Amino acid sequence: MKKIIPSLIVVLLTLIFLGTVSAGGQQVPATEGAEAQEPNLLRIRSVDWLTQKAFISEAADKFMSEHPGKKVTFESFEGRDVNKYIIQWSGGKSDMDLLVVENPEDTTAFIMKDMLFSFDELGFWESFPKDKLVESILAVGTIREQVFYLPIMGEIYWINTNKKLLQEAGVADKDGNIPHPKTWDELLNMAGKATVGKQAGMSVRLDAGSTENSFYSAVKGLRGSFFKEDGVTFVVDTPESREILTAWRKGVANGWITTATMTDRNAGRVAYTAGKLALLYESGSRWPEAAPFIGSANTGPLPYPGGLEGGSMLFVAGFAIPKESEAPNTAVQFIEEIYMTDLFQSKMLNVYGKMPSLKSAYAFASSPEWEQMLIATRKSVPAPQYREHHVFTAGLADNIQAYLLGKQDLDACLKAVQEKLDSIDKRIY
Amino acid sequence: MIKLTRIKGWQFLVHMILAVVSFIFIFPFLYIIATAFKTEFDTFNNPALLSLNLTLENFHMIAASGVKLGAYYLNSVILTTVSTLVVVIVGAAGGYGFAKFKFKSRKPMLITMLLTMTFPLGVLLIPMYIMEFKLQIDDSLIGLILPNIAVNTPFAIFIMQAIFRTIPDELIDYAEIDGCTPFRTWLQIMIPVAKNGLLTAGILCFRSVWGEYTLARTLSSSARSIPLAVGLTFLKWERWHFGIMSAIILLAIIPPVIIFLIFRNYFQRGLAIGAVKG
Amino acid sequence: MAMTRAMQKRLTGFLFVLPGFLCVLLFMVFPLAYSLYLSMTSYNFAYDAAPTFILFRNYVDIFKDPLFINSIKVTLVFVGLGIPIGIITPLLLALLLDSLGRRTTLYESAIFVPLVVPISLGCLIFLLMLDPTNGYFNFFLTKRLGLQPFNWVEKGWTALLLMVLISNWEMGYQVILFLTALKGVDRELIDAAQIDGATGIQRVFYVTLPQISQTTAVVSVLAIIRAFKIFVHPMVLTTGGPLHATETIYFYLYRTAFEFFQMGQASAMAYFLSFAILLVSIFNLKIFKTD
Repeated sequence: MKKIIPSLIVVLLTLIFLGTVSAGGQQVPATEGAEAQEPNLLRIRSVDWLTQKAFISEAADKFMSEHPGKKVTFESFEGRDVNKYIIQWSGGKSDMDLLVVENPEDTTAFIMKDMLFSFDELGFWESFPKDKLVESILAVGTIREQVFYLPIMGEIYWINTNKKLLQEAGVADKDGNIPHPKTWDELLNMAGKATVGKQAGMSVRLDAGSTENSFYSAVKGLRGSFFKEDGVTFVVDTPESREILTAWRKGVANGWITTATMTDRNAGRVAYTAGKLALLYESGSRWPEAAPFIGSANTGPLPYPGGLEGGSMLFVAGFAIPKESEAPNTAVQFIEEIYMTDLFQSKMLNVYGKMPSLKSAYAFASSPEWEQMLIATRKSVPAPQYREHHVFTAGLADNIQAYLLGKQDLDACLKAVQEKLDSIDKRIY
Repeated sequence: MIKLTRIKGWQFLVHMILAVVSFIFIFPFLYIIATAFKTEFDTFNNPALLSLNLTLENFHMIAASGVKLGAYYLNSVILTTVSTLVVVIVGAAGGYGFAKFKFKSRKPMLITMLLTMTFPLGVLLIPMYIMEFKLQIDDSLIGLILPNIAVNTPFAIFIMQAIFRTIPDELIDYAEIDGCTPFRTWLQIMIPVAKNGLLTAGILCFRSVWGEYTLARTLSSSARSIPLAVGLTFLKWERWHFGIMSAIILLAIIPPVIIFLIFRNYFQRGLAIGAVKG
Repeated sequence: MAMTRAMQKRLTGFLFVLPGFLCVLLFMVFPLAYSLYLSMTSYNFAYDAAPTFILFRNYVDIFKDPLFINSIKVTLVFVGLGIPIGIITPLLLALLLDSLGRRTTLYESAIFVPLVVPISLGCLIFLLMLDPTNGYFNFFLTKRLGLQPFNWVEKGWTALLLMVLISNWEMGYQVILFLTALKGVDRELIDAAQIDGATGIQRVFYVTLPQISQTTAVVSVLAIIRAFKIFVHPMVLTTGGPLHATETIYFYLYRTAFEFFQMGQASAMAYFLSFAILLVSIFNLKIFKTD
């Protein structure tokens, strides 16, 4: 008897809970933008690193000082947890009025479930002309002609250099001018010269999540596009791919390119900021970041082969406003008044090396070296947001890593990657 | 006392081995303390433990970063203390029940608890969030305390029942003869005897909840309930700045270390008493 | 209503256990049940509107995934290495400590204090120390010993070995459990054995160890569970690399759930892991003949 009662309770509770869950799982229609007086509170949630690099705290303070009576609060969250908000919003509630995320891919699920306002329907463009923003960056957040994801800043893959180390290696002249490498072999030789003992001269991001970025940015540089003619499917086996991978393998085999990034994506960045790595091929925002540590005269950008002609891969951080937000118009006001200003945008540029979405901000760049990166940014596009994108990213990284470590040959590697690409769900929305 | 041998030389050797082992175990702490007070320059160029330039700049930078450390600290303290108290009490009761009594549903109950201990929590995150959301306790301290109790109780029961088993049944009989109800027996006889077991379970639970990250990350969203373990990771963008990372770690481990140092004495005393009784 | 003494005893036992059991039941049962349901569905959390029921196909499919098989292998290595390191070493340390009698407080504290550090932060500390550029270990190797710097996580087997070692930084509680048990050993039996002419080692094996078998059972079950569920270490130290060499089951299942959004498959993997651990634990307990 005593054994049955606990079991009965279990079964009963489970049935009850399962019942409530499946009922709540249906979509609650998004509340119409009830235009009653919006509360005086703007709640922001931003990905942890964006809280710092987008100066959210300063933005909040500024807004509050210009609009006494309004309050702005903000909280950080871990990038990957974005999806739990689906549960909140389908339940008709929202913890936040404004979301700040690092990748438009994070909002795909929301857009598909129709949980975000588009900035068009909120009337954003009535007071702010679209052509004030860099076209390639704005395009990232535009779906079916509507902007759901308002870009704050962008990043591209580029090479960050330590000029002093390159001078010592005989690669840079005494003014710190470095020749732009035209081929990956050239770049490899530079890395070789900069390699000192066991300290590699160059780092390429080769971990599970970033290999795709490293690879396809390089491909785009040489080839002009990482898509086939259809404009949406990744290319795999091309002469450019082969040139790049062969060079990387040579670099790894000779110790000129470090493999530390395969397990620790930040290994290169750590070494670079410590002043020990000469060439860092990853996000182009690292060179201003490292300036306080290595000296701003010593850091600078360098295009990878074809970077200036073909462009790179674009990463855009942006704002999204959930339909469950209680203060969407305040959010719009906040964005327009604080973020779409030269002040904030140029600050993000000069301090953290993030490419502003506002064209006019570039006039305030602290260094003429930003020119080359802006040229490339205008030609850059983001990675496609296939439904099973992550599966491909992981598979690509696996095979390239195996090839670079000598565990498989180039043909097998490219073949496996192509198979992976063919097997995934490539639908976008 | 097991005297493996009475030769004085052996004693010295054992001491040496233990001293080396102890040093190895403590070394990471020394490293963190040393690095937390180093300047950036030193963290890059002088990784040796001793540095001549000691500075508090890392702590200043943390304070200036806008991360709401105060709120996170408070959340962690409340969460951990409440959870640990409940777990220890419930664990002592459960452990006693499993160790000293035989009742029909004993085995299935034990196995259920074992099963919950084995299950990887990661997969339960979404269902847990859904459940809490429906009950409207998401992003709240109680919403974190309850799962933490559920997660840590089986472990506490497991430890306590092992401890209680080593206590001879005669003690129960004496208590019964003296006219104690089972509850009094438990409270006034068993618990004092098992004190160091309770403390072990308590310290382990404290540590488990203090550092608990997976559950907290999903179930909490704002300073209302985010504990330190999660809040500190918001500073992880400064990954190359070993000084700041070390300072952060140091801040996070100070409370548990203090608790440990306080209870260590009781703990050691408990062990010694156990030895004498032995 | 007259209750026999035996019935009363059973009821009492049940009541003592009830609060704990209820806590666990109420807060874990719903998520576990929902998870079980999910494990029998195909559900991409980000894109699908709702799960689709496919019964047991997940359980078959996951074994067709070479990465999942790899994660099983990796986990088994952890468990295999974890048993000697996580059970025998604490036992040895406890024996050593016990042999010294009373003046061991300092050592015990040193061995126990790492437990105070939350696992993720502990891993972070080691990550910093192991960093190839700025870390202490390489500094020690190059400057103090004059050897070549070493990238600790470059090769699969070094990463794996290191991870097992680092995860055993927390062996303190196993040491304490053993030590407590050792203090409860009957000295008279040992002295008797000594009089009979048994050597130190023989005394340990034939007198001491059998007496602490219950504790050994507990310690080994806990060590095994921990080895099977190892998760934070691969996450922080190597993110499963290099080339999946340190990708344990729990790590891979977490990726499946939160990177690939396949909640159905992840739940199936979780249940597989859970039952595997359960079987091994029960088997373990049977060996030590306790229940």
